[in-house]
Amino acid sequence: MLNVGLQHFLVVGALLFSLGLLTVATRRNAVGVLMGVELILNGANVNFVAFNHYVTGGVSGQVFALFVIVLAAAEAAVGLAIVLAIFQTFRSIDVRHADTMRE
Amino acid sequence: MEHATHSLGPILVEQARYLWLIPIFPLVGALVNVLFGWRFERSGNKRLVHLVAVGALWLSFLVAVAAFVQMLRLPAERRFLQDTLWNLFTAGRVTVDLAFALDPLSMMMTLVVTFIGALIHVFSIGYMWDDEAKAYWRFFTWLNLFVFSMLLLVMGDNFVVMFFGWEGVGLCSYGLISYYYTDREKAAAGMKAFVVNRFGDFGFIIGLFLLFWGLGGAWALSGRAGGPSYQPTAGMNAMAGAADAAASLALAPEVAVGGEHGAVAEHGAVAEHGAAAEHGAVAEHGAVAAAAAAAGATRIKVGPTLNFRELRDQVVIEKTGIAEHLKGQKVWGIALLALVGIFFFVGAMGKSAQLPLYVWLPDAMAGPTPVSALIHAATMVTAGVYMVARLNFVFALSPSAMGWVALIGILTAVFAASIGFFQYDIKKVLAYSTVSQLGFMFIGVGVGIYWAGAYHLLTHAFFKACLFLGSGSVILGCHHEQDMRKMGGLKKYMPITRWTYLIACWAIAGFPWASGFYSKDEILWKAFTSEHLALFGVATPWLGPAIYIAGIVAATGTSFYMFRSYFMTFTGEYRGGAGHGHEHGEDPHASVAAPHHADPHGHHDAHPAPDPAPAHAAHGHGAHGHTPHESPWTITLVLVVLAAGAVLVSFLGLPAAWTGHEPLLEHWLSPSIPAEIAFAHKPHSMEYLFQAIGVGAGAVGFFFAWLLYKDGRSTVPARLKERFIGFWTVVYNKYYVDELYDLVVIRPSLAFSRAMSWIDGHIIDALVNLTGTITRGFAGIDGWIDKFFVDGAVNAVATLTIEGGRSLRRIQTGRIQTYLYGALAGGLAVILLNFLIH
Repeated sequence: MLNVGLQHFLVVGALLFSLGLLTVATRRNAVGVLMGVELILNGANVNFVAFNHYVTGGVSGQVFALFVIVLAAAEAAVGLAIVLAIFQTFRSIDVRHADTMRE
Repeated sequence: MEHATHSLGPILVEQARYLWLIPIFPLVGALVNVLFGWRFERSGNKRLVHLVAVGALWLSFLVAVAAFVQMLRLPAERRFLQDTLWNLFTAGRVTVDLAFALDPLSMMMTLVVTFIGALIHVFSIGYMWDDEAKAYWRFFTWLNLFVFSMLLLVMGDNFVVMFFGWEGVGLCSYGLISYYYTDREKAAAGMKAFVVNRFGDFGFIIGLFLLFWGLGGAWALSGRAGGPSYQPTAGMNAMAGAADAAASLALAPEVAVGGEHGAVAEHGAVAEHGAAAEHGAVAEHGAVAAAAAAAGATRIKVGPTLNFRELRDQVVIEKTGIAEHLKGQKVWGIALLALVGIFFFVGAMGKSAQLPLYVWLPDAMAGPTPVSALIHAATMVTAGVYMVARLNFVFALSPSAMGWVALIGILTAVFAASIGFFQYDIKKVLAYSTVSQLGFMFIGVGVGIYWAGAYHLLTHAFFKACLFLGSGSVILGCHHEQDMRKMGGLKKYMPITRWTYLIACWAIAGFPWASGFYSKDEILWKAFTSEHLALFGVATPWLGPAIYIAGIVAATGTSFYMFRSYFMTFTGEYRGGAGHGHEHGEDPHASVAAPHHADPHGHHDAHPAPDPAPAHAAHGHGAHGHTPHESPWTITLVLVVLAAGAVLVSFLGLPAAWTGHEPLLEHWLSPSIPAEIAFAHKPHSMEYLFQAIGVGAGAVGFFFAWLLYKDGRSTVPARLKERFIGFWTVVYNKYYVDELYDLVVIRPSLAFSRAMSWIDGHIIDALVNLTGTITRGFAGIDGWIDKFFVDGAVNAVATLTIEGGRSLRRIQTGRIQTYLYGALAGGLAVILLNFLIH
C-alpha cells in the first residue's frame, strides 16, 4: 500500500489548481468559469489542510480552509449575480461577448 | 562828414508799447483773407477782400505816423522807440526778444513800406479786379503777408526778428511771382527768385555767425580740446575790470561808461531794463546827458549779442574796446570784419539783386505789376541796402568791406543799365533799371554816405513805384500788352498816366527839382571824394573817382533808356490794335527774337509772347475794344500821389552846398548812423561843377532818346542795330548771363543730382537689396532647419506615440480571458526567471 504523504496531497492540490486554471482560461460559459474558480480555491484548500496536517499542526490551516469555503460561497453568489447581469445585458453568458471594455 | 560827436553815447531807449500794432494789421488782414477771402469772393462780396487788405495797410500807416510824431517830439539822442513783446529765447548771456524798435532809419523805412504799400494796395484794386486768375483774395493775402514780413524786417530789434522778416519777404515774393502758377514759366520764375535768394541768405547767416563769433561767442577759443565750454576771451575779461577771469565770468560783462570819471565798474547783476528804468526816471529831469553823468555811469553790455542796439553801443563806444578787438581778429589770415561785411553783403546781393545774384529780379516781372512795384522796386529789394545802412558801424570798421560793396554796386549799376538799353518789354526795362538803381544805393552805403544811400532808397521807392504802376496802367490800357513796340502815342489816350510817367522819368534821370537828382548826385559826389576805400586790405584811393566816372556813364544810360521807354510808349502813333503786320517789315527784331524765344532756357518775357498771340489779341479785343483807354481812378489817383511824392521828397535832401545846412534827411538819420567816414573836403564850386555834370549826363541821355525815339518814325535805331547786330544780340539777350548760369550752375547741379540719384538708385539701393537678399537667404536656411530638424523631431515623437498607441490598442480586446492569458504568461515568466536565476 502506497504510503500517502504530503507530496501526494500537494500533487492533488496542484492538479486541482491547474484544472481550475485551465477551466477559467478556456471555458466560454461564465458559469463554467465560476466553477473553475471553485476548483482553484479548493486546490488551495487542499494545500492549506495538507500543510496544516504535515507541517504545522494545530488548526489554523483548517480554519483558513473553512474561511476559504465561506468566501467561495459568497464569491459564487456574487459571481452568479454578475453572470445574471451579464446575461441581462448581452443575452448570453458567453464571456467572449462581454467585451465592451475593449478600447 | 561830421556825424556829430553827440551820437557817440549809448542809445537811450524810449518805450512805445504800441509799435506791435504796425505789423499786426497786415497780419490780421492776411489771416482774414486767407480764411474767409474765398467766401467773400464766392458770395459776391469781392469788395470786402480789398476793404480788409487796404484798410489794414492804412491803419498800419496811421500808427506809423503816430510813432513818427512821437519821435519828432523827442530830442535827437532819444529817438529810439522800443516795444518788447516777449522773450523768444535766452542762451547764456544772449537774450533774444520778440521786440520792435524804431530809430530814425527804420522809421523812414516803416513809413515808406506802409505808405507806398498802402498806395499800391489801392492801385491793386483797379489792376487786379478783372484778373484772369480769379483769385483776388489770394493776391491780397500774399500782399498783406508781404507787408507784415517787410515790417518785421525793418522794425526788428534784433537779427532774429529781422531774419524772420527777411525770409518772410522772400517767401511772399515767391508766392506773388508765381501768382499765375498755372503758367509754367511764371512758376519757374518764382522758384528762381526763391533759390537765388536762398544763396544770399546763406551769406547773411554766415556773416552773422562770424560777427557773433568775433564778439566773443567763440567756443574753446584758447585751443582747449575740452568741448564747448564757453569762455569770454581774455580781452573781455580785461574790459569788465574784474580781479580775475573767474570773477569776470561770474559777472555779465558790462562796461560802465559816461560821466567824467568814467570809472570802469563791474555791475554784473544790473540788468539792462534796470538801466532803462533809471533813464526813464531821469528823463523827467530834462537834460539827459548831464543826468546820465550824474547817475554815475551807463552800463553797456558787451560780448556776443543779436540785438542791434547792444551791438551798436558796444561797437561805437570806444571805451569798450570792442571795435579794436574786432579789428584785430582774423580768420585764416583774413580780417574778420572784412569777411563779416562781405558775407552780410552777399545776403544783400541776393535780396537786392546785385551782381552776380541779380538774375532773379528781371524774371520776377512774371508777377502782377503791383507786385513788381511794391516788392521788386520799392521795398523788398531795398532790404539789402537797409541792412547795410543798419549795420553801418560794422561796415565802417572795414574799408575792404566797404570797397567791396561800392565796387559791386557800381558794376551792377553800369551792367544793368546797359541791358536796359535794348529791351522791348516795358517791365523788363524797369526791372533792369531797378537793378541799376539798387547799384547806386550800394555805391552810397559802400562809400560811407549812408544817409544818401537811404535817401536814394526813399526817392527810388517813389519814382520807381510810380514808373512801375504807370507801366501797369499802360499794360492795362493796352489790354495786357507789354511790348513797347506795340504801344506808342498813348499820351492821347492816357494823359494822367503819361504825365506821371514823365515826372517819374524826370526824377530817375536826375534832373533838378525832382528827387533822383539830389540822391544820385550826393552819392556820386561823395564817391568821388571818398579816400578810404580798400579792396582785400589794399587801399585803393582810385576807386572813388573810378566809381564816379562809371556812375556818370550809368546815369547817362539810365536817362537814355528811361526816356526811350517814355517816347516809345507815349509818343508817335499807336502801333497796337489792328495793324500788327507792317511793323515786322520795318523792324528786323522779329527775326532776331525768334531764336531767342525758341530757347527753352532763355530769358522769358513776363507775358508769354511779344508777337501777337491770337488768343491774347482775341481776349483784348473781345473784352475792351481796339483803342487803349485811361485806367480807373484808383489807379490814376495813386499815380498822381506817387508822382507828387517823387518831386516833393527832394526837399528832404537839398544839398548842403545850396542851403548852407545839412540836408533834412541827413539830420534826421544821423542818430542811426554813428559811423564816421572821412571825405576829402573839396570846394563848393567843384560840387556845383559835378552837379552840372550830373545834369548834363541826364540831358545827354534824354537828347539821344529824343533823337532816336521821339515819334517812333526815326529809322536810326533800326539802322544802328543792323550795323552792330552782334553786339545788339549779346546785350538784348542780357549778355547771356542766364545761359551762363545755366551752364555753370544749373546744369552741373542737375547733373550732380542725377548722378547722386543714380548712385542712390544703383549703389545704395543695391547694397540695401544685397543685405536684404543675404538676410533672406539666411532666413530661408533657418526656416528649412526649423522645418525639417526641429519640427521633424517634434513630429517624430508625436508620430511614434500615435503609432505605438495604435499598435498597442489591439492588446486590449475587452475579453477577460485574454487578460488572463497575459497574467498567466507573466506568472510563468516570473517562475521561469526564478528558476533561471537560481
